[in-house]
Amino acid sequence: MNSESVSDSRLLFILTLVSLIFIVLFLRLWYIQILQGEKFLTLSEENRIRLVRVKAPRGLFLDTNGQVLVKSRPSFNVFIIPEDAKDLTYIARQLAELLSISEKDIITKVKKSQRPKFEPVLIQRDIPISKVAYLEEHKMSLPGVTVEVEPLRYNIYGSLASHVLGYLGEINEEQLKDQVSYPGRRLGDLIGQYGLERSMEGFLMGEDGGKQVEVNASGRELRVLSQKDQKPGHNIVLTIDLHIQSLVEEAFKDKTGAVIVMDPKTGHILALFSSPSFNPNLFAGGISAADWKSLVENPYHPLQNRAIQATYAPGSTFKMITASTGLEKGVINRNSTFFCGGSVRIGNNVKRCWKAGGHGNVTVIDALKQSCNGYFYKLSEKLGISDLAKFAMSYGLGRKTGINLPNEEPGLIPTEEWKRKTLGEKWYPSETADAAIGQGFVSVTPLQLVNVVSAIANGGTLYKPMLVKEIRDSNDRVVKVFKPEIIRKIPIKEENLKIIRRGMWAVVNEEHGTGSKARIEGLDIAGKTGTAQVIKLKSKIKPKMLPEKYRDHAWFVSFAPVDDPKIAMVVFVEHGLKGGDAAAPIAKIIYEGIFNKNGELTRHMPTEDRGSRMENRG
Amino acid sequence: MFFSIIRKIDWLLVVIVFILLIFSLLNIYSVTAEDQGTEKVLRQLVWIGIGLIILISMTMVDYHTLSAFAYPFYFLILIALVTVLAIGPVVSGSQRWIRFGGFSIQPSEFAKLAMILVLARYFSNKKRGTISFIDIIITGILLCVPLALILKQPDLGTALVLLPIYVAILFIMGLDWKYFLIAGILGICAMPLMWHHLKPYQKNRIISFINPNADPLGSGYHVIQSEIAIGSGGFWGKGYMRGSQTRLNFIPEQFTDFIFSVVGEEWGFVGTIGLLILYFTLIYRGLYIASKARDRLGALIAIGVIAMLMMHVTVNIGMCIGIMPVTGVPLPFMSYGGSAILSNLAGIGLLLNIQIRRFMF
Repeated sequence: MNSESVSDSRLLFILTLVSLIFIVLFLRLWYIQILQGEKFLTLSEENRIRLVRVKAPRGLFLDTNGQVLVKSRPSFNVFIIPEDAKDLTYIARQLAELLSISEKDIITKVKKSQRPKFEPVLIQRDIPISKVAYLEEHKMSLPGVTVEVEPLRYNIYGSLASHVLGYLGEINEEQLKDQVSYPGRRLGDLIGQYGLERSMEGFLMGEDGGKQVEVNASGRELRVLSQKDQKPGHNIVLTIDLHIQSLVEEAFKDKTGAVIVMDPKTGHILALFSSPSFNPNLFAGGISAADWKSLVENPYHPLQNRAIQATYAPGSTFKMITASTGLEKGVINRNSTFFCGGSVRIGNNVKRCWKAGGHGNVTVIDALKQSCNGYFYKLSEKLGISDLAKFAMSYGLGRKTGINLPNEEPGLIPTEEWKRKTLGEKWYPSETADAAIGQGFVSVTPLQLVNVVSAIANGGTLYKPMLVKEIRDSNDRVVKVFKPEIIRKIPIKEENLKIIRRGMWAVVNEEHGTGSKARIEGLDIAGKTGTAQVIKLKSKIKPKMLPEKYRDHAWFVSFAPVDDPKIAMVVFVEHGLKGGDAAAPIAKIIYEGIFNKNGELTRHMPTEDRGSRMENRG
Repeated sequence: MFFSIIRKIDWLLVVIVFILLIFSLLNIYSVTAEDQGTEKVLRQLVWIGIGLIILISMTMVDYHTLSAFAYPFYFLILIALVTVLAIGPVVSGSQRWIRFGGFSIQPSEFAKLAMILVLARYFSNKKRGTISFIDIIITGILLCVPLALILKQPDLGTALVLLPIYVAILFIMGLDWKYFLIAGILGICAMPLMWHHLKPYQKNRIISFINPNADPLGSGYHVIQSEIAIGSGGFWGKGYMRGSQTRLNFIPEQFTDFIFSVVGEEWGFVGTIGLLILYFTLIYRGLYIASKARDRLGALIAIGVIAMLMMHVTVNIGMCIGIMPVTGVPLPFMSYGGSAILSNLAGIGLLLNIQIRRFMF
């Protein structure tokens, strides 16, 4: 039986093979444990071989003309190596005094470290150079304490473009588990947590290197045994223009709101500002509890990017979309008129125009120019919400633009179906009238509005807003170029866009135009004001008497020059009241800075002096 | 029945396995006591408990009955392997586990058992020395499906263990020498081709095996540190819970893949050679059981189990002492990890089963 099931000779062969393998294992163990045992014992006891990580420098941010916006500066960090700090209480006491931090914190940090005991535990980042000198002098009496240089993030112009650039923060537990996005990151590492620092992390971080070093008994490096070079992160060239960005920030002053300047022919964002802003340099070495608290508890929420994360009623700036729908549906044309008598009855509601006596017979161009509500109420009766919503969505409203920044909001374009699903109610015609003038359920982000204006300016092409132009490696070789991306061609005829552009030109340049405060001699600006209601007022109260949080929002969207648009812009002032009074003048200042007297673009750079002044502040 | 089983059981095998398990718990405790107390040891004890229940059932139920379920078991494993790829969590770059409550199961560990049972079942009614080319193709497909799924995780180590099971069973079935020669040559020729399909970290491990200084921060470093640990143990070792290499966390995965380094450092040459003797006796005993098996099915299952254990021992110890590249293969009965303990104890159960039933007709 046995002889049939398996052959003895083959079993014997297997046994021989197995024995041979065991003999090889035995000989190798004999060699390393008996013959080389002494050598390895010394290696394990006296000389220690350790791994030291060499962090890769993070990539830079450059503006569209190659000006450096964010770089790295050296930061001196204090570490304790638990294995070498034999008398931890003594060392903690010494360090606590020098660095004015609590002795207990130091001890907890060291005790809580999950890393191997020979790996340094970070005690404090960015200590002043005088304290570095002190530690170097006293290093013999402080075994286990080391100071290492780490490149620290540094925004050269302080808070400039802070919402675009973002900030760094320590990696959190969840991100640590994500080895795909954050390969090789460890607890305590700083990674991009907001803005482009976050969304471009993969390009910026580079690849850490390291070296195997031999250290003596107190942990000092004796010699480098071998090493792997680090790969610096890539540099990011933005579409942001430092000149325009600083112009915008100076023009907007300390009001609350947002400004976005865009190149309407590419979707490139030349400036994006949300106010109040913050200084990313506060985050560079890990933000202090006090700084964090003051940012988070600030009632104006400086960490919120109002350009993309906040949604507001667009008010009268929405009238271009209502007009587009009417023109494209053939309900109105250039010469057709509606009569505005100051109020319109829709269903059971009476809707009022802002001008008590009404505007009389108005064409679409007049209606845009004077921002006549009556015209658009009557137009809305002939359109219905579904056509209006369809057009608004084709202009990119109601969904994210896809800009390369975290936490963008989609805003809302209401439809009958939406209302039935979320509120369980039917749609009323008066709500279509509200939507037609950008009130009611309609909400947008400033970024979406500047995209709408860009599309009107460039002949109906909706671009994806872009912040990054290209990526270069540390040797300045181009690694990746981001080409303009078209979201869609808006289904509207050029002749109809012309009518709308004509109306927008009139807003700024004709008598009775609501945006006349943006008018510049020699530059053809087209625009539209918007005053978005925050609450409905029962009786007439003077707006300035209202508490700030109930005041209307001020909008001004515009582009210039009309015939060959180079700039599209949205200015939004939160609770700024009238768009024509609060937002249009800011746009004027910005245009004056961007264009020279002949209406040509100017690109003079901020001087070094100015840079260094901000540098000191940052 | 029960008493006749107790009387006929191969107690030597049982004793060896128990010594290994106890020794394993001692070493896991040595490494984890400081940071995690008894948590890991208790978890491992739970796995051993479950494993022993499996061992007993694998011993009691006649292996002929077990082999009747070979194909359903095999397909169940295939489904599990696909599930892992579909929904398994990604842990350090690979998907190997399915979670059940607080415990994770690694289906690839059980794929080895399924492979053994399916191949043994397939060949049990073929005459020795009459294996046709079609047989090789069919069993080749049976091998390659789970192999590909495991490589996809990717888990090169476990995938590699499937090969010797296949080869050993074909060898014992009397397949002509020339086939092994051809396969060997083809294998060598295919190496450059396979190189392109390896993941970067796998390439690094092989490069650093050939030249440890090529990747001093990665696996090369680990192997150097492991060698230092084992070598510094000398003849008697540094003593239980006294290994400085281990204490200072120079060695990665100390209680899983690199537990042999802990043994080497703390128990010295005495400990490592002791382990080698235990493993050799285990393998020898398995071969003996194979040679005395009542029928071909029994012999083939026994050979498959031996091939699996031998591959694990060789690859794992070889890695720790720097004569094999780094692959994540656990040391049988020693490394921490539930699935491996379960499948290895099941394997021992099969060996005991075959040993007992050689007398029964």
